[in-house]
Amino acid sequence: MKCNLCHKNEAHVHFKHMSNGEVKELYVCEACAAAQGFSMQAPLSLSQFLFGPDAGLPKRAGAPARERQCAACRMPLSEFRKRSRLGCGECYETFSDEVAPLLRSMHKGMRHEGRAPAAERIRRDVWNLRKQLKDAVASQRFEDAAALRDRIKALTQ
Amino acid sequence: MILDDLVKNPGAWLATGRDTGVALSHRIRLARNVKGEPFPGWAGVGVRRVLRERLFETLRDIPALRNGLFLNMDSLDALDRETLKERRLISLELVEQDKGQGGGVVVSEDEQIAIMINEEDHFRIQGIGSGMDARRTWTRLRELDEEIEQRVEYAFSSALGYLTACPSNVGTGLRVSVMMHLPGLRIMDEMGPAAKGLEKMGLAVRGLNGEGTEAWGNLYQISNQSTLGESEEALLDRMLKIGLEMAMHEENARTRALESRGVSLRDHVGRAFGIVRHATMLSFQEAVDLLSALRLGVDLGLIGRLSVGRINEALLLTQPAHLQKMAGAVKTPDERDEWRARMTRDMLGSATLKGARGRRAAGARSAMPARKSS
Repeated sequence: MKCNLCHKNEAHVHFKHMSNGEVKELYVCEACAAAQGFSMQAPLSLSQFLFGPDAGLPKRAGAPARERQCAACRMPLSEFRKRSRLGCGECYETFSDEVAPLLRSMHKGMRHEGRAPAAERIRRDVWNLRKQLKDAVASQRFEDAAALRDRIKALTQ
Repeated sequence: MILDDLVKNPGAWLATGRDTGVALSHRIRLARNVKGEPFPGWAGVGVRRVLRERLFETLRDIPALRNGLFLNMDSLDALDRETLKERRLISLELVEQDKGQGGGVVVSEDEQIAIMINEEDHFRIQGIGSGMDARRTWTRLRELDEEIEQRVEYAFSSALGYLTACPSNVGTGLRVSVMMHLPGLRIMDEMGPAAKGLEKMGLAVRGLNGEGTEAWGNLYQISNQSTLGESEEALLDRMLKIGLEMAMHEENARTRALESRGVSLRDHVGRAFGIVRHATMLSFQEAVDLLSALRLGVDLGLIGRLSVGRINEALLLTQPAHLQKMAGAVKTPDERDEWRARMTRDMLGSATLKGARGRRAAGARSAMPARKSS
């Protein structure tokens, strides 16, 4: 395989990077790897390779970079890395890039199947009914549409 | 109801007097958290305590828990906490002094529901039942979950389901675990491959006391690991199917063991019977192994006038903390072993070892020629 960057030399270096649950791969030759300023020993991330050695690191402007933390419970990322436990429900959003690969390795799927709190169930039902309503209107089934509208009204009151 | 009353009863999940066969008991638990509150492991002890009181108040309002036991971990001594753990009402996390601070447990009157507060999650709603009757337990648990949900807003996301402190529980927050007695598979050297197969299916196989413990007395807990991407009903169906399948493999292994290793099987049961009848000191681990052998003996019809229910009961009551609580004053380890030996002997009662005559008649002479000639 030819190097993905210079397209001339044989690629001997293989980078694999996981971001937002997606695996990105890059094959490059040693010269290009060296030109980007990376030694073969240092662990790298693909984003560093593609966007320069500073990519993905905290910005170095002025004061020392603050560690990422959850806005709701103030748990820092390092705490999650240490204990593998999140600080609150919001952390799933805050640290989604860290959590996603874990979920993938632990579970059968990546989306919740099953029960939901009543409020959530209603939201789901309303969403489905609205979709049906749209279809009914589009295909000019106005009697169905009226019935669907009544059901949505009953649920959202 | 107070804790001391609990100890005298054998625990509903052991279903004394009922033959539960290969599956001793099952446990189903739901992990739930309160929206907007930090998870217990990140919240300080003070925050945990305040939340516990609030959640206790909420739970007191639920009819199904009205006559239940509300226990605050901070005010229980080490022995009480250990006793609760032996009854599988709380986990090791709540037993430990520092982690347990601000924790609590609510136990229903019949002991089939135990809700841990501020363990790893704000709620660990557990249903415990005998044998494989997990459908009934699930129905009860679901109803209770709905009752709580009317009073507390759970941390929930439509994409990830119920949000939990550990990503391994997110989604349904549901864990189904079955405790199985598998001596047949062990005798036939098939437990290793069976456990590997189960692990390949994404299940965890653990010993009697949970994570990282050995399978004393050939007792195994089998449970699911994945909680995301599969509905509660689908998981329950899957676990019940696997439980029944394992029970079938076990029965099958026992039949083959009787055919090919009948003599050593009878020896195994007979020795256990003899030791229980005559020993004056027994450690807990030894007692578990012996009781396991007796249970197999009863199942195979080698022991008469003894019920599996009584053995199950002895398995619970001879645990160290239970023994200590019943014996009253703190005992030395030796005294405890003496008590335990007396209890298991009493359990045996008028039980009899059968099959000696049958063995002679069944032409087992060839198996013991040396002894006959001597």
